[in-house]
Amino acid sequence: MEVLEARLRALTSALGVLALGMVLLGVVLPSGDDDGYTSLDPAAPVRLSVPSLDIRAPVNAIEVGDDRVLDPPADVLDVGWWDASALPGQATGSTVIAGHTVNTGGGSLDRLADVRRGAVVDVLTRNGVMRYEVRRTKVYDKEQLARNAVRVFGQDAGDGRLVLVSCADWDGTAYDSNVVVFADPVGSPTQDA
Amino acid sequence: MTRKPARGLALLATGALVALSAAPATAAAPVAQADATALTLTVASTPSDSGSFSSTHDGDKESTSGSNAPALSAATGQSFAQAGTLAQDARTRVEQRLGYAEACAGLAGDGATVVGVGEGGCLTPGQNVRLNAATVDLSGLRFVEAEFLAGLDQQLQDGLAPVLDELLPALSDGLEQALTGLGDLGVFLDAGVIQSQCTAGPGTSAGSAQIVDAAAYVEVDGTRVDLVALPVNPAPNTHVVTDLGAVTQEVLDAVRTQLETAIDGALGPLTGVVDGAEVLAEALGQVGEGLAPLEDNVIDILLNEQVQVADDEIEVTALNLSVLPAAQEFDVDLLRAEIGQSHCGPTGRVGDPAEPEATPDPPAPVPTSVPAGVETAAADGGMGAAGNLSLAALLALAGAAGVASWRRSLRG
Repeated sequence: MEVLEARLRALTSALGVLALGMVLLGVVLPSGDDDGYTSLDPAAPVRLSVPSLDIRAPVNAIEVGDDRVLDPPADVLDVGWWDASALPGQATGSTVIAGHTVNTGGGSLDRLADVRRGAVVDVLTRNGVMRYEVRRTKVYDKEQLARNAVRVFGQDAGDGRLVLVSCADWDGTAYDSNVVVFADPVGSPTQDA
Repeated sequence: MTRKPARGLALLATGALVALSAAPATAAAPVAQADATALTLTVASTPSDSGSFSSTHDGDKESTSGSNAPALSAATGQSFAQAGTLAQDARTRVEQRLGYAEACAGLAGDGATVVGVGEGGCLTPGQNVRLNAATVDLSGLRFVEAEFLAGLDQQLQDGLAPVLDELLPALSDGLEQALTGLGDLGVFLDAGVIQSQCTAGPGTSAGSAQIVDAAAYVEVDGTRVDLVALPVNPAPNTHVVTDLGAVTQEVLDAVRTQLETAIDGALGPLTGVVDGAEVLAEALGQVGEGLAPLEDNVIDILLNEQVQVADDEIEVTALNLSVLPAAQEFDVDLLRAEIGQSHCGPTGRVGDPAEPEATPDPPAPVPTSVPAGVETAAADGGMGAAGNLSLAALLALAGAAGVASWRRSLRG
């Protein structure tokens, strides 16, 4: 009888240790993701990729001037991340990236207006890739963009969405409008995604 | 005793100054905002809209801007809607020091009644409105002679050899005549009313869309071919994608008679020897292949599009339509139409001058202009950092080579 009790105590102790170990393991190891995506520690963007349009462009930080103009990088092959907008991976605000459309071709975002709803957009950061899914595309003329500036670029609202901006509506001498693509954050793809 | 009135006066003056300085801050910050746009069209990347009607409440009074009775012609230069009624309205108010906003916008046919915001919508339906989403030009369809023969077995090719020089031009002519008679295909939306509405208040917002008696269809030679019927009260962000595959058979039926006549005429005495039905099937098959892009998704429609900007801010678009690039092969203008955009919020609380809230850091100013287009890469662009580095390296190399040559020449 004593032997049985001793064995039961030993078994209980072993199970207790095992349970404690599993709890500690759960704390230490990262949790798995059912959908193949995980959260991303916010970090500045390094590269933009829109596979469906064959867009791949380095990202540089850009500022809004005193005149409230956001100028993309002078190099038309690059795109610019507005440095007062959200970092990719942030849960609030909007990450704003602007790039050139070149009438004769060769601009980083020449084909942005062709992007389809649901298309994947990847933004590479030092902490990994943040993936977005295109929700909608809008074209604003200059007056409309100014009128809707807070709604498009405002940082007080938003769920970490991506806002891509380029130009549209070539009139023979200049571009009269902006094409704006809004994309929802999906997460950072794990290896399974 | 003389000091007390002076102190009292000083206190009053200070209080007045504080109240005066606080007043602009409290009055300037809107406590409720709403705006509405009945129709925005983007044809070939050129946007136009019906203007917006907006309402803002600063805690003391409501102010509005824009027109809440836009004419359809305001969306100029478009063939999307020739007749109909547009409506856009917005209203803000303050109750118990809290801001509230509501807006509605939409499009209906002639005879629709425009009602003010707050009545559950902007419009009650009249006649149906017909919207021209796309015009498909089929006149570019051609027979490719080499492909036509490749589809036939050798025996049939041999049988046709004596009349081939007449047959292929006759088929091309027959197809062209048939397509000319058929004319362009019109892709239409027909609806009683398409409208959205929204409300926003402290910490809350909601929106909805109403789409009555709406369907997408194609007109082929005056015959209506239905594509899809749209739901009346669609759930938020209901996605409808439609192709024009349903019209392929209509087009084939329309060209069949002309092709039959062409084949009979070209075969002449060979009619008894060569199987004309097989030749016709191959000809129709080639026309069908030419129409294949219409089987792809051509029209993309999002109903009751809702963007929850914040708890107390929402944007609703009743119908967002895009003609997709798949249709470009048939000279279709890429068109985007957003019908019935309502935007409500954000809202706030009328500031209490006795207990002014702490002033937060001012947010970074948002851009109002993004000049992201240039004519040529050389105008504003460059070769990129890598290109510049390469050029500098080449220049350095050339300079070094020059110095070396010069020194060699000195030694010589």
